Amino acid sequence: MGLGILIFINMTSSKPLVLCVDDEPVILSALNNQLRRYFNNHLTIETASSGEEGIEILDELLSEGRDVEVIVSDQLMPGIKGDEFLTLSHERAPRSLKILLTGYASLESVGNAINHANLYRFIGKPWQEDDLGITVREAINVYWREKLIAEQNETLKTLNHELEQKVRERTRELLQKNEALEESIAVTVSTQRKLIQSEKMAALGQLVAGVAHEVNTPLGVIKSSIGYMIKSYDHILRDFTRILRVLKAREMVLFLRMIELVNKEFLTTKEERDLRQKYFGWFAENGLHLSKISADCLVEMNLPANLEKFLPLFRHERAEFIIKAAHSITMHEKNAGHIKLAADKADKIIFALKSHSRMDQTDSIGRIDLARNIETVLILYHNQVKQGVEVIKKYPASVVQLDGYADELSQVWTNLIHNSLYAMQNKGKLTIEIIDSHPEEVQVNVTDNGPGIPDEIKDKIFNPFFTTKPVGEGSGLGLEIISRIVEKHMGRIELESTVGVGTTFKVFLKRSHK
Amino acid sequence: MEKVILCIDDEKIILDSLRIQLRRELGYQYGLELAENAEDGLALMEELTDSGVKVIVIVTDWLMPGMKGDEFLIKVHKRFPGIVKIMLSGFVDEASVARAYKEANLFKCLRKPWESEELVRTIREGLNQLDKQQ
Ligand SMILES: Nc1ncnc2c1ncn2[C@@H]1O[C@H](COP(=O)(O)OP(=O)(O)OP(=O)(O)O)[C@@H](O)[C@H]1O
Ligand SMILES: [Mg+2]
Repeated sequence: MGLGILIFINMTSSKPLVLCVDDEPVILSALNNQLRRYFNNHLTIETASSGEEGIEILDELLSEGRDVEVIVSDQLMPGIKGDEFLTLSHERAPRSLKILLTGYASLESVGNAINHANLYRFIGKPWQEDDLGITVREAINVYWREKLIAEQNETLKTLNHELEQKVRERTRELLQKNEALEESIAVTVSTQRKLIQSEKMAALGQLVAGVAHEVNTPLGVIKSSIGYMIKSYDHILRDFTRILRVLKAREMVLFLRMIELVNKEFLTTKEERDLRQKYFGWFAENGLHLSKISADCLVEMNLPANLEKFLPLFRHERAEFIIKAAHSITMHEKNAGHIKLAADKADKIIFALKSHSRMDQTDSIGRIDLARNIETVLILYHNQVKQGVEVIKKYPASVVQLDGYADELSQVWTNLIHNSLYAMQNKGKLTIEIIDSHPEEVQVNVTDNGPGIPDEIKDKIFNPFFTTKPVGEGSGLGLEIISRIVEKHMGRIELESTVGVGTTFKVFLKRSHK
Repeated sequence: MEKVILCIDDEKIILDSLRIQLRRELGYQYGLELAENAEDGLALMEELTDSGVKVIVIVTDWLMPGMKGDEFLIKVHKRFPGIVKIMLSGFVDEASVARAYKEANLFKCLRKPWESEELVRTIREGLNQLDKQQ
């Protein structure tokens, strides 16, 4: 019965061992016999007739690596006493369970044994055979249970230690890897910066060509107009003095009034041709025999088609001269108007260029007029856009403002417009819409009717370096730059694209950064 | 037969400036016709030809929406030979200029901003050359 537990717990192959020490051979043999019987021989019993001999045997057993589960000792012996012997044994075999056997209990010795030998039990003489057996069996069980626990603890400790070691190693490895990663991130960031820089330079190259064209147009106008004004000044004076001689006072008043009617609006060439036909018709209606050149002069002055009031001038015998004089005098003013317009245009381009290239401002947050911010970009890309792209602007009537970095936002529009123009191969419709209907956000939609973006690459296009452009043409950083800027503005981008229909990028930006 | 100079540019202000300038420099000797794009220019040339007017000089921009200057001049060259063709542009792609010289018998390519004397001289030289050829 009790053996089951014993065998279960003692997993070593050898039988449990009990060391019995008593100076009286009768007692020793009684212990021996009773235990043997109780354990049905599943027990090794060593005996010693004195404490000294007991220590010798114990040392020997321990040096053989033998477990000594239980030590039973008499108290009263010649030489060393039982409590002393058990104390010595305890020093050698702390795990062995010690039982003191004595006829009369000296409290002192029991106390000693309890304190110094970690006494397990005290059995009085004479003892009950069963009591001895049960006590020893329990002691053996305790021994093995404790040993097992100790071993498990040991294993746990080792494992724990190993684990700690591993964790420490891992941590070190991770730290090293982390450092390496940080380093490579730093390298990537700096390469990326360089790339962004070179992309900017490339964009700048294109921009310079475009801007050169844009600025050369108003410059051409200014130069030619000023040239005309300088050269024709004498002519005008001469014509005017002649007019004074030719015209009577009343006619002079009409002449001046007609000159006042000159309209400085630009007509399209088609409108001018139509206007010329109207003059021809009017000439015929009134029986005027005026040349085509006269009609041209009237067209260039952009006079109203109905000139009844001025008929006396047109019926004048020097009518052709009067018309040419009016023309050359008014062209002077018209030229001045051209110069002003051209200068304004150049000014606009330079302003756009400056705010685009951060020449005159650092990267600071400010209140931005969204439509104006977009317009500066459109002005710069005007020459690329006008080649075959119809630009449709849908801006709300009132000004839409937001907090932001003006230069960076214009980079967002630049890159989006750039992508759209590229996708449409400069032919198609580009719609730029500002939506002002959310309380917190403003929304800008850039839509093209290009080829669209296939579903397979929709989630890749924002990745840095992802491009479908031929090698060497695109860096694939455009959209990445956009997302970083939009992120900086606490905004977001949504993409809507259908292959064969077109693409819309929706940019949402917080109105306020407070 | 009435002779005209045709100017093509997508910016009306340039056309107006050219008209005033050429009017002053060349007087009323030639008529002036304007168009804001190449397609319009071609249609206008057909119209003028039908009404017995001869285009003798073309001054055209290169970078315009739709048909570019070189392509336009090549078309003109095939349809209406014997016209002095001048390109006037703020930005021209070199390959396109080369093509225009070769395939459209381009007389000269001038850059914006242009010198009025140079433009007028070029027109006169072109007309002289045309006279000699005919
Ligand atoms: N409007 C668009 N229509 C169709 N495809 C687009 C559009 N915008 C972006 N894409 C796709 O997204 C890809 C990535 O765009 P991104 O602007 O990041 O780089 P990229 O334009 O290729 O190169 P880079 O901007 O350096 O010139 C493009 O190559 C293209 O395939
Ligand atoms: Mg791009």
